[in-house]
Amino acid sequence: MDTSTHQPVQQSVAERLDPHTATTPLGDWVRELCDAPDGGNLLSMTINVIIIIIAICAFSSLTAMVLVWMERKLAGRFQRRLGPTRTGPFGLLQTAADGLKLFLKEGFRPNASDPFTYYLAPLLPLTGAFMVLAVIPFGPSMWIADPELGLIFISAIAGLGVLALLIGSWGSNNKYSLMGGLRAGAQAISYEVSLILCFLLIVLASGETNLLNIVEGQQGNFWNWWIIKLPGAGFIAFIFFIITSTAELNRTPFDTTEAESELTGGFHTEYSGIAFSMFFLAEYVHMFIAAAIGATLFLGGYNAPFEFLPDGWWWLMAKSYAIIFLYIWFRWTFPRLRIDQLMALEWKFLLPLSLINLVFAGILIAMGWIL
Amino acid sequence: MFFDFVPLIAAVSDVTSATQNKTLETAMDTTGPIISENVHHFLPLTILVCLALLVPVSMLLISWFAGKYARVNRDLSDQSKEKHEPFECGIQTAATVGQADERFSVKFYIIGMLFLVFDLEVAFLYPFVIRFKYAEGWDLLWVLLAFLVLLEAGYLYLFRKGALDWEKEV
Amino acid sequence: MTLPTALWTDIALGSLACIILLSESLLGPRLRKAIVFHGAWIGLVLIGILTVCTAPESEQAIGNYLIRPWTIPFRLCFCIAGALSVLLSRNLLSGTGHTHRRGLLVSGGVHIFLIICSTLGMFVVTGAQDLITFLVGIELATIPLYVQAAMLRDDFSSEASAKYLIIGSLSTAFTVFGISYLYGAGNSVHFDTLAQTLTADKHFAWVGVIFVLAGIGFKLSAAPFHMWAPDIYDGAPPPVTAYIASSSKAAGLAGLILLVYGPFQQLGADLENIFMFLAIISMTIGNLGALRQKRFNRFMAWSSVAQIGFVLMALTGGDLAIPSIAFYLLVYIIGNFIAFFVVNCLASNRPETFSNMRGLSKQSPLLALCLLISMFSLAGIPPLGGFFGKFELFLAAAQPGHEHFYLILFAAINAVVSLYYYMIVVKDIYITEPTHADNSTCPAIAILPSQRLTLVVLVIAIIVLGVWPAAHSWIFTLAGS
Repeated sequence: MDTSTHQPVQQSVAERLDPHTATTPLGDWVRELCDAPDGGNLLSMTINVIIIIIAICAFSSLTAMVLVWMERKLAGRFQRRLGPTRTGPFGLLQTAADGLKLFLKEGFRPNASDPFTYYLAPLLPLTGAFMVLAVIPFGPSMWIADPELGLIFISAIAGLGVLALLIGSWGSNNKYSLMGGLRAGAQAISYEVSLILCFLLIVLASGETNLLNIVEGQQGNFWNWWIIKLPGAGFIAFIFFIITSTAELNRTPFDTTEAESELTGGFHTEYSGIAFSMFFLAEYVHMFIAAAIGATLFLGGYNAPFEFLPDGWWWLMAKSYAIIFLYIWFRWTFPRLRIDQLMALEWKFLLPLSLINLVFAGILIAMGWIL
Repeated sequence: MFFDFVPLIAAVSDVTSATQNKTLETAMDTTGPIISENVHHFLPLTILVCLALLVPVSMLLISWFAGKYARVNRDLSDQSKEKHEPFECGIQTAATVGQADERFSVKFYIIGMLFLVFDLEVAFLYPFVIRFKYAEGWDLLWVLLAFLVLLEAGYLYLFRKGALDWEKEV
Repeated sequence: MTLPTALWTDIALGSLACIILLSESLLGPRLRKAIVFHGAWIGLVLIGILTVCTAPESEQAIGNYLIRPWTIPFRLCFCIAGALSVLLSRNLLSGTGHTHRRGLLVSGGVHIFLIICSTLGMFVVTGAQDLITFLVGIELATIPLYVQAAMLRDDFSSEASAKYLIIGSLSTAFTVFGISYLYGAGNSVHFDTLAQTLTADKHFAWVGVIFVLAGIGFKLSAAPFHMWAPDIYDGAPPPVTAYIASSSKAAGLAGLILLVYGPFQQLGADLENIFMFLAIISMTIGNLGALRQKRFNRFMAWSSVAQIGFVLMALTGGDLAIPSIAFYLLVYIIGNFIAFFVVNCLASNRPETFSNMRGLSKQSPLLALCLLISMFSLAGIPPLGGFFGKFELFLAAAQPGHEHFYLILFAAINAVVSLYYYMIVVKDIYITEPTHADNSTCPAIAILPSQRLTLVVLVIAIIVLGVWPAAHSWIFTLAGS
């Protein structure tokens, strides 16, 4: 096979848009402060990277707080209530107050639990969340890292979340926790297969695993987004993505993991104070990440829906929040599935249909039937 | 100097990516996009991993100190025996109380095995799928179909044997 | 994209496996039984014919998959062993109205499917052109056997499967470890590159070679890697035992030849010493072990260890080694299967000990005669195929440039020893009178028509291979002598 003709063409995109070579005022100041031996190139890059990382981490933590507020507010509206109103304007500071309260709680661990695994578990989901955030392109030059195998990186790191639930539930040494953890494990690994098949469909269509290149490939008007560009297959894959990501996030109707009425909270039964709030925070960061990945893959990422509008991070935010609204809507609309229904849905319905959809998309591309 | 480690990481990433390329080239036909040699892609991730571990750990530690001095009846809580027991909904029967490291249903093992099979299938699909757009027409589609038919034969077998039923007695 | 003609056998085998699995899962019970059983053995026979028909004149390659002319007789061996193994499992399949002392196979369809999978793995081994494909082939050939060994619902079967799994994993670990060293020493996993870069002065290379040989030695059950064999032969279901004894060995040998004449070809003289050592140890230990056995399957296990010793002796020789091993394997497989067919008939209602075989000549003259011919062939008595097989092995070891006369002398002594224990079996079935206790537990022996027919065909084949020179030279031509 002749390799030269098959090389991806968008290789130069990364260099064109690389944020790390750009300088920031803060970076210039730090560079003056410490005189780097190598002429400042790697050093400036490092400083820029650190600034971007801190910005994005802070942003995502803020997002999580906003999301909690949004969920409570929307839940109130769905149930003809007002939701939080007292703390701050429209109750916006309610989450911050809750967070502060949890911060000041006693660091407490049951006697029967295993200290190492008990404290390791809350660390992992946040770590995983921050690492996945690194590869999401927020804007034309707003991202932390740009690995060629971005999607594979995401599917690899996504496994950290379920690992945390398993470790935490085992380390708590509580029967409710263990049941919740096992269910979480079974559910997460089951739905991961379908989720990755949704990713594969986009890789198939775009020939890329690099997220930035995938976004750049959807430039132009909104019919260049993969959800529309692949007639039928893209839309089905998007629906499957919403379903499987809801399950991966352990959100209702797939929240047998927590199942308050059966397991009193599932894997985090024994967690309190900051450890509990770290699980809680990671859950909402993950929700944002899932929505952002969906927006990036299917809805054109930071691209504007029309050519004459400027591209930028605000489009990604708008699309992500639209998907998040869907997640919240699901949560307050659907009843919880039983675990056998959950497994049947994945193994007997989503998995075969995802594969058929993949082949369908393959035929579409082989025949050239894309918009 | 704190920043001395940066060139070191750069050197290490360079060496590893170079050897990876060489290995791939000699071992098999490299037609797909391979890990770039560019240090740009690894340095941010390296820093990020450190920070991503640092932030949660510091959160735990800060709360530990803050919580320690904020709590009111510290002495009482330390002496309270019930507080440190596993949460059991207050049900005090022999069936519920006690250690949680018991045997659990074999169903979870079956799900685990199914996951291994199908996740590997998906992992093997990646190379096909990455090259798909750059291949001529139906060439790779036939390969993809042959691969999927072989696997779906196994899937059908599992389906008929009831391995995918959660409730079936095994 | 055009496929080489010789590759069609591999594709056909894969499709056959797929069809068997699909019909097992989709068809109704009656149709399923017919299609799975008859489809499998007829398919395997047809693929065997296809293998011979599409035998390439020269090497045909697709990517890193290379079909070599000399592997054709080995592939034929795999097909024959697979088909015979399917036929042998007839009285262990449910729904055929038969009963067996040890119960029926848990899932006959899966058992047959796994036989075909394993055969496909052996095909992949012979087609490998790099170490990774080689490893994948070996694993595909052996992993189904771990499952198959557990197919009966008794403790022996489970024990055999567990032991086989552990030993097999260990040997795979050895192989992979060795492969990593070979890669380090040779800077490639491709056979052609390794053939140039692996030289005898590289110590790393030798570590790799030893570990890979140890790994394959486990598969071959060559001494000193033979300890698993007797337990697993005794515990596994009869068709699986026969398959492990024949096809698995053949695949291991094909892989060994592939390595010796491929990547290891510059190591020549020192490799010969290793094989000589393995051959001597295997012959001696196998023979000594077989002398004192009381159960037939354990006896066959020890005897196979000894037989592998003879084959390894031929590997110290030159060009004649490949065709002589191919011919020997064909004869060995047929001889083995005759014995296992007979014992399977006996074992359906009694434990397969020698004492239970006394008086067989009176109970069933046909079975007794078949077992006699099988034992004579395995021992190497002149008119039968086994004699010429062993003769060729000796000849290969005595080729100009490789005159290992001491080794041959040692092997000849061992052949005489082996004659003793094979004759003990014959004595038990023909001469020794059964005691009252033996006889009272022995109901009449039922032979299925299909198995009777197979036995007759096999006996004719083994005689033809011995007395008809054309058959002999045909195999040699196939192996590219």
